[in-house]
Amino acid sequence: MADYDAIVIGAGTGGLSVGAQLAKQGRKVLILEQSERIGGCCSTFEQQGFHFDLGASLIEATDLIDEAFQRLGTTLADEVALLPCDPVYTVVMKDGTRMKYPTSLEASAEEIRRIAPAEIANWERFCAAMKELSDNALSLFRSPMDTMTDFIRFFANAPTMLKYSPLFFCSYQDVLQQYFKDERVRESITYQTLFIGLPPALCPGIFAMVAYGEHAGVYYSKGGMIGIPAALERCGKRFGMEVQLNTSVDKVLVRHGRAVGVRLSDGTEITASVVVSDINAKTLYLNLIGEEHLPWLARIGIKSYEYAMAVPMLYLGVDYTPPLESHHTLATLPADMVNRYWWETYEKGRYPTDQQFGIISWTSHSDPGLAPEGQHVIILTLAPAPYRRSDGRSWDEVKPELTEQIIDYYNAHYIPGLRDHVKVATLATPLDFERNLRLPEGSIYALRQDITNETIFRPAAKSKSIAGLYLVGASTHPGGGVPTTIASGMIAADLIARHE
Amino acid sequence: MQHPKRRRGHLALWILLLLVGLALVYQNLSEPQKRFVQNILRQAPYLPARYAV
Repeated sequence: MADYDAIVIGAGTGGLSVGAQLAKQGRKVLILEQSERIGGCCSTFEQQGFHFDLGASLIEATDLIDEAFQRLGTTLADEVALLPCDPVYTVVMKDGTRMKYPTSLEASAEEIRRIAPAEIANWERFCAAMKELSDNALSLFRSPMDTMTDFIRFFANAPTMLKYSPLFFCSYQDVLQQYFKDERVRESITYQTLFIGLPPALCPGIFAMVAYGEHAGVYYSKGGMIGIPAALERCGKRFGMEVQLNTSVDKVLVRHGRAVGVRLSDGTEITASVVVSDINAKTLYLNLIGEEHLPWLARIGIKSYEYAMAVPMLYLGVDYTPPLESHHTLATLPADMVNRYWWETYEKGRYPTDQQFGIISWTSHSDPGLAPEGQHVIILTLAPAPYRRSDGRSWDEVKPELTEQIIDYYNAHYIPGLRDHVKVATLATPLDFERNLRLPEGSIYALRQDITNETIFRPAAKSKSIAGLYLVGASTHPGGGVPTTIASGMIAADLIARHE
Repeated sequence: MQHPKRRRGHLALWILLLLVGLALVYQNLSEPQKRFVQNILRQAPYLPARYAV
């Protein structure tokens, strides 16, 4: 008799989602988390009275998250106080052009009219196509995508998707070029490819629907993004789910080709009928399980995956009201410049401080409670950074000077007055993400998300090598992001209900 | 009924024409489009192995 029905390794949003669903199924569930807090990249920490979000700073596709809560007998609205972020973004372009994207599509069209009146019809055409695509593609996020049968079944259930299948084989940049002629309009909706972890030339065109999907509403969790994993944990605990923090798993125990439990770093063994992993799939298969348990083809496959990009983040507590216009400001570059940055800078191990682009999250604009009275929280999601620096210096070594250079750059280009008002400045580098969250090479989306790493080519939710082993989180379908990892928990819970 | 050698010759010609056509299409792609194709071609040999994971 096993100690638990299911052990979940990692209390990220995927791990908590599957843990809560399995507990609701009546199973005895234990979640083991190596760090001192839940949530993984969707978490919040406090420093000198300022509350900073570790990674994610917004949620969209709330229908998907709501579905997870409804399965737990409640709703997202009942469990999490969501604050709408409208406008979705303010965009500050390379040439200094500023525009806002309100939630309303019509109001966004008016903003486009201000910049490029001739593009209004194209915007409407783009939105109509992306609406049809989004409506049909949503089931892709709810369905397992482990086998060719799953893949064919998806297209059979959503035949309209066949019309959009060419978008898998062209880039996001191509799609924008098909719809828009004005470079500034294209630049204003180009940054979204970094949400997938790729530059515009490599990001599959299908993800152009993200730029439309944001207009269904973007939200912030009051009190910090930790509100979402905390709600999942609370719901799971109602059904008896246990969560153990500061507990590191060293090995997944495999007997006769089946996962039968885990060994902790202190040597304790805990047995379970099912093991669910919410950690990077390469770490799982190569370190926690071991190559010797994998068939030869799977061994080649798991080694072939490349890690997704790493993104440094600068957490700032300031004692003034920053001259920003909205919760999120995108500091953008034209698509070709982002591509060049990717190939000539990022992939060559360089990290310049004089060509930054990214997201400025002014979270205390939506929730003043995140900072002491009269003060504010600003979180800078910086340009993608190489894990290995070509100058031979370690991230720890460059951290103090890099922090100052980034503050100077943003002070000069995007947030006037910043330099004189910084009270707290903490930089998280790729190395910090690796050390603190166990994200190998700091990869925030686990594995790259181009078409050769997606759907049936991403590690399967139900392991094809080890019986009783299931995967959730960014490593498996549907990939990285808060709604998608929560969806991966629903997919795994359904598979476990069917097979175990 | 064609002679097998002649049939093979025709097939080789069609394959050659296809490759020339693909090369021409590739030459006319923009730099970002070439990168997109290169990225897929670079990883394509791993697809059967990735499907096995």
